[in-house]
Amino acid sequence: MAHTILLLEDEAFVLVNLELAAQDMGLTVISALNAKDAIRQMDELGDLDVAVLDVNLGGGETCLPVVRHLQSRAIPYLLHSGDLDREQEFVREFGAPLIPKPAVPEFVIESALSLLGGQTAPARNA
Amino acid sequence: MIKPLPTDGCEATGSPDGATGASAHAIEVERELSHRVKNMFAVINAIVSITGRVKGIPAEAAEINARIQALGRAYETTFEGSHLGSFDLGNAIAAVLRPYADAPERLRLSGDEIRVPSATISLVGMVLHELAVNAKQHGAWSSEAGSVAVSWTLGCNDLECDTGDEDTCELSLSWRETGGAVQCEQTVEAGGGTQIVDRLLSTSRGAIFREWSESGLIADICIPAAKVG
Repeated sequence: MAHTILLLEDEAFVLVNLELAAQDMGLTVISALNAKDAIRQMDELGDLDVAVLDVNLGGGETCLPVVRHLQSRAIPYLLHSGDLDREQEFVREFGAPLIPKPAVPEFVIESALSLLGGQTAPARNA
Repeated sequence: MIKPLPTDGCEATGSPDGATGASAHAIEVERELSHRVKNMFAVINAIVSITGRVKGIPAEAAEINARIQALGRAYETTFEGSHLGSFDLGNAIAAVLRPYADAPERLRLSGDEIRVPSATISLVGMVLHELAVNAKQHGAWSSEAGSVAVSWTLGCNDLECDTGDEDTCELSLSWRETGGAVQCEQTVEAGGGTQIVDRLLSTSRGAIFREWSESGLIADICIPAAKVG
């Protein structure tokens, strides 16, 4: 059965690129440009396997509300960010795997999928 | 508005004065700059990738993106301490090349501590990216156990490169593949990467000497770089 992935990213081009890679791999995709929309879609869908979260979402907003929402449902996620300092803060606090931007989209999606079934995500993109 | 960064420099050994004196504000600006540039690289990669997809040329788009990503890795090493205007060549070389070697022992790096301007960082990054891709496809990194040794130093060895005036110094790069696949020159010339390297170097008044051995490519490169002001 196809897995469902949540993609949260405020840059439309980057979001589309991730969507295309995920769709190529046969995943069902829900995508959001901001945290509020991500949470709304999660609540409507109710069935989500894994998520890829950009950390900084513009205007000072971060993915933190989505992280809490995912954690309350025990859904695995990874962080995809160009702000390594803030990313490190998140990693220290939540122990989430991280992929620094820029990264190949297929690698990001594969890394997210590797969180299913208890495998560890690759640490760094080539 | 971020003040333009000074960009002329090329000096051996040690950190310039002020390396430890960056203000909290300068560090904050560098962090924000780093974040924005990385984001911009991610957007550029996405634009190239999506364009390649809708135009039906995904392989070409992937090749372009690999160059952009190598440039991005080289530039990442210039964010910290960007107010100094000159950057450690070895850090950039390591950042560019590490992802291509699938095991650490397959890439050996050694060289002087040399500070160069950011333009030199991008030129060296692009040249080494092409040699690395070539090694992956045809040379030492295409075999099971081949490795590449890269070293760098100030001054030109046997190559003639035109530094123009006394404000410019010479950098030498040595690329040595061992234990690789046997490869003939014709196959390699067929790739676009060789053309790009040759053109970049000739425009920069640098020089490259290539020789194929049974264990892979041997290349000597000389690049002129502006001295630290």
